[in-house]
Amino acid sequence: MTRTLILTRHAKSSWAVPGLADHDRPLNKRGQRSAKAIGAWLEEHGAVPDEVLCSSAQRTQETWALMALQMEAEPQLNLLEALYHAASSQMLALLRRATGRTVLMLGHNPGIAEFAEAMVERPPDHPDFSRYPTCATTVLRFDVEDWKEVAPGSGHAEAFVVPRELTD
Amino acid sequence: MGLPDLERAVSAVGLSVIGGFHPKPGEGPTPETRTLYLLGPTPGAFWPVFVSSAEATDNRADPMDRWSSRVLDALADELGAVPAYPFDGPPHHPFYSWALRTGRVHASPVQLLVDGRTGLWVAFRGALAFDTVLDVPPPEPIPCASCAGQPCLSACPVTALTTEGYDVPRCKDYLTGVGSRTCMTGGCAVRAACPASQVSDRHPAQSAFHMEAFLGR
Repeated sequence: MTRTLILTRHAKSSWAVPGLADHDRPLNKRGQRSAKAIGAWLEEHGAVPDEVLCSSAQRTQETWALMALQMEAEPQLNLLEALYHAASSQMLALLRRATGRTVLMLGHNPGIAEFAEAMVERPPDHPDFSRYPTCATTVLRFDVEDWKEVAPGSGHAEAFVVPRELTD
Repeated sequence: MGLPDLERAVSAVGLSVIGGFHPKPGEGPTPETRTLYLLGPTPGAFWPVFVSSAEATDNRADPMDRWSSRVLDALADELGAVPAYPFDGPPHHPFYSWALRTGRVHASPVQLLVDGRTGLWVAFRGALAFDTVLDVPPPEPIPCASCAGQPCLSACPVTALTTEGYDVPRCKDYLTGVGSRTCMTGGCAVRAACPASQVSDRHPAQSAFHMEAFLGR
């Protein structure tokens, strides 16, 4: 039995409204395009989640909403305050509570970049993997029966994609 | 962007907002800077984060500076800020002056910086500059004003740190000689003597790391 983790950083957010709390910042136009492109790419490659763990921030919620428009499935959405600016260790703890076969986590830097780096057996050969730009997405396969068993350094990186490879 | 959001973001990587201020024209790291926050290690939280990082174990030079660059570059990108570092340069950023401008960090009797939270262990891993006016933490009084004994003035075993300033060669001569193990393993005796430093949950290995770095090892 395998489990699949999709790790997506939120898409590009807007700074157009001064005084808006960081938690409440929306996506900008480029971010909206990126989120749709990543959603379509996941659908096309058969990497569709049945459970979504999403930071409660506006920009992560919007990213998921636009990705979901490109997918036929309607996975269970869990909005998690604990994922907002979560550290890598917190992300692992949250993943170990997941139940889906294919879980999508939507989070923030630097936590998500560190988490991706920590979970892979071998990092993908891509110049942007360590930087994890906005809407960057890794698909990881784990040979585990249950997410409780997942350990750092045990994920096989099946794909890593950034939106500019899909949109420009 | 608000101060609580920033504090949450930096706490995830073991850092704290030491202070912030609104720079005058030409005072910030960029012409557009309207708010500058100084970030430093959180006692008890920073060291475990750092020692578990890739930089701490890759046996390359300047691990803590490289950790700071990676983490704060990513945070700046996430929060829409511009990072600045004490190790940038030359020309170097004026972190000492910036620290005093926060009103929360002060010059101690031995001229090292001091604050009420970490005493003479206060340190900076970087700063984040924002182009909008944001809330900053309120000023705090210098802890030395109520420090009757001021043990920092007499703590250095070779009187390298006094009100007259810091005699760096004298300090280094002592550290590289015989009988200096307390300073090398527990950190600078002057910093450790500060009563405000006592409440700081600082890991001894963190002090030892900086002493080795100070000697260029």
